[in-house]
Amino acid sequence: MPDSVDIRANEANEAFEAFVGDHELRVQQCDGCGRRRLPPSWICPHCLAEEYEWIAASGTGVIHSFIWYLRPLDPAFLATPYNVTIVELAEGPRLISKVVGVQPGDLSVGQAVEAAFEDGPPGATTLVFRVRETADGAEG
Amino acid sequence: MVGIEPRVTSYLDYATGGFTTQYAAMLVAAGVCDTVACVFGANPRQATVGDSGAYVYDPTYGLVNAGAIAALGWTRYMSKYETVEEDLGAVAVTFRRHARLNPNSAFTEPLTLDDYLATPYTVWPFRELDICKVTAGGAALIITAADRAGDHPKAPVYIGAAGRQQAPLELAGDEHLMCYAMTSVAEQVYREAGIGPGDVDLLMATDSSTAAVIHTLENYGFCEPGGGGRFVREGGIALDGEIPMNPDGGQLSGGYLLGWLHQVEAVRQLRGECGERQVAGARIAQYATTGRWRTDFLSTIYVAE
Ligand SMILES: [Zn+2]
Repeated sequence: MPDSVDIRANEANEAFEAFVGDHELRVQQCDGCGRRRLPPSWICPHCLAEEYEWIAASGTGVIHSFIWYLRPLDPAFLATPYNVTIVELAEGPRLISKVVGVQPGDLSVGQAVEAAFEDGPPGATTLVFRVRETADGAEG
Repeated sequence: MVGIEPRVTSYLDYATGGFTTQYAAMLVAAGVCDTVACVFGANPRQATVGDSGAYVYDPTYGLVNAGAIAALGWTRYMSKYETVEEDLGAVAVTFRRHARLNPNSAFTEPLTLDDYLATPYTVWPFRELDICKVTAGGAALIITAADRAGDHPKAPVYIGAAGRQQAPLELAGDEHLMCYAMTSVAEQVYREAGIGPGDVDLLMATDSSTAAVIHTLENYGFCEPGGGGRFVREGGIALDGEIPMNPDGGQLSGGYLLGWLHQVEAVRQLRGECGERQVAGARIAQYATTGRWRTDFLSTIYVAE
């Protein structure tokens, strides 16, 4: 039955992308065990329940890890420098993304970030993050 | 076919050597085959220049190359433990020193820690020398039953034990980023062999990145978690160190044929054939390999006759 699995996996991915297109970040919350998860999946990796809800995420998180490409490692991605960052959302799940508006040397593990949205051509909005300014104006 | 009529032939789509030999050993143990030839060859266009691990993990964000995953793991590791840049540099320098004693090595230019530190970053925190290059070459291993091994012209090396653990490709998980599935392999292989890491004379292990060496040393119990960098800087993996590792120069300097050369060197070392780079008195060699984009981990204990 691999086809039906693929269709449901795609449904979750497409729903997530549609939210991002509307500048919304949502995470899946399992109806079975209550755990929140991303990247999108059709079945809960913890308890195998298939039912879930999309709940609104705060958009805040911290940097879990990051790297800076300073020399291209693949001919399809030549525009160095760029970072790839793993963000741990306040709701728990971790995402592969990038932090915008920063230069090499600006990032650190544990740094506070918040979701932002980069609009490309129609239907091609990308979820990104930027460093979060705290109340006193300093970087969090 | 030139007088050979194999009962079984298989092509493993991606195997770093150990997985192939484990399969071969299973075929022999099950009585399906008497003797199995495991062969590998590669002649990449970018030999000695191109980075190993070419792969697009995420096209949206440009997460490319297996070395980048290892780099993400090292950033994470640096946030957990105290590290210095020389931790990774010492891995590169040690294996280059070994490679210079191996006439088959791909990279034999002298390399010092200062040389390492002077090279630019490629995917920070990694420098050029932290990710191994693809190289050309071939390797073959013959696996047969122990009671037939005497029929061959050279002394056999025995497979003493094996352990294997697969793990999901969860890119954002610390288990994946720091290869924690190795601890399960270690538990299996040492229990089956009835030994511990302190009994191993020689370690042949995946070094497609310098950081992988630190994770291997810690996860297999050769040093404590967080202590791998210091262990290497203090000479722990040198030929005369606590656990001599990759005396052929490994994948970083000897040559990258996935993980096949690690096994070839293990056999040669246990036969005492390695000349200047011979680990004195090596009787027990441990092979530890990582495959399939860090989702498959295997270790074998090889024992000299
Ligand atoms: Zn669940």
